[in-house]
Amino acid sequence: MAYKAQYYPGKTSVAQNRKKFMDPSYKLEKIRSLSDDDVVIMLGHRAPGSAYKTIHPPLKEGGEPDDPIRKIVEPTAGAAAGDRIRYCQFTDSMFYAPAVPYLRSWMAATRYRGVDPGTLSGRQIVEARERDVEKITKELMETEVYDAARSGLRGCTVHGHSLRLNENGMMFDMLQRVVLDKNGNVYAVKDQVGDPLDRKVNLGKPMSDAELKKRTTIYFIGGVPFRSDAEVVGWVQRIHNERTKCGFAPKL
Amino acid sequence: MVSPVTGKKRLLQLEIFPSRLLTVETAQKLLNELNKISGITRMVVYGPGLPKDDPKDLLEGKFEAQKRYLNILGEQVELTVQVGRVWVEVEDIAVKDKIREACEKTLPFSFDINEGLYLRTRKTITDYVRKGGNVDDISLGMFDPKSRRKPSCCGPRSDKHMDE
Repeated sequence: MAYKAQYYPGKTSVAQNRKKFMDPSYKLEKIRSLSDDDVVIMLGHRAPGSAYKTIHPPLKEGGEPDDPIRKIVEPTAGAAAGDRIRYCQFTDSMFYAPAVPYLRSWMAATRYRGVDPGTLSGRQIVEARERDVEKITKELMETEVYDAARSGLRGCTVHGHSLRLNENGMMFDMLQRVVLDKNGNVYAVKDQVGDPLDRKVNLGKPMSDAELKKRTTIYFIGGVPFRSDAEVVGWVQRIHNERTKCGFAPKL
Repeated sequence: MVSPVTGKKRLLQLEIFPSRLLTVETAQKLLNELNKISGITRMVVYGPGLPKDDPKDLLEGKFEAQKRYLNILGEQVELTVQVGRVWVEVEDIAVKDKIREACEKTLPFSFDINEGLYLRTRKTITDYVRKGGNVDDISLGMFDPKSRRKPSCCGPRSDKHMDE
């Protein structure tokens, strides 16, 4: 029988959502549409329509030495063209955001190629070739992984993930990159590092609390507590136990 | 109440902890109500830094930093934080019920009122280093000594309205 990865242990809704997000065969549900230019201006790395800056010639013209690995691994579009490395960084509120930083890194590792994900307590960065970053960001922002109110594309001044929400339900953002309008839609008015945009980008309506609790991947006392998932707790304890023992006695 | 460390009498301190960060308007309403209560000796609003732009301006494409003010009994006090907690020093525990009523009247969501020690009661080394020890009893523990910004406060003269 062929091995089938289960990606994450557990039977609670949070565990199931984590499995779904990490499973590359699962197609993420699209909940908003953004144009390519929308993503480009929100990232703020280049002007829309401008050429990609490169750090080396296209691989086809590069005259790379013969290497069996090069024959096996197909380069990503950005690598083939020689794009420079750029990044996208997301912040997720602890109040039932659809994704969490670690999950975003695991997702990047299972779903995308040629990426360098990095995780911190409240934010997660993905570094990759510029056109790959744009493609990845578009998918992450258009689908169920992103909520207009509880997730944020934040390159700097990310503080806010562990704070209480604003009165209108938005995650605190010192730079106010996204703003909730009276019509219920959230608009991006600044790029990820807080520079003003020439036009605002409609990110749609935030999800309701009930919807967020259904989709969230955060274990939270008010929703699905971590300790309610015995299988997850068992695995976390086993990993912790074995890491600790082997850390002290590598011969084990 | 009697301090367990120094054995001296000190005033009771309360913390109002709303479940959301307050807008300037809600904070103003809450402070208006609190200002009507007699028996409050000192108050501090605390929270993360207040965003500089007005959201309405941002939607209209204006990106100009604006100062925001609280009206404390006619005195304009610059607001530099988004109000997340209010620390109140009271003369008597009976004031707690009045504070609870004020919160119920003005806050459209749940809140907690905690008892504890939120404002320092003794001068620290930092006070001596930064202020040369010239910290009066009123402002003791009310300001962040490391803050680069000039603290916003209203003076004791605002007390004249008390006992309404």
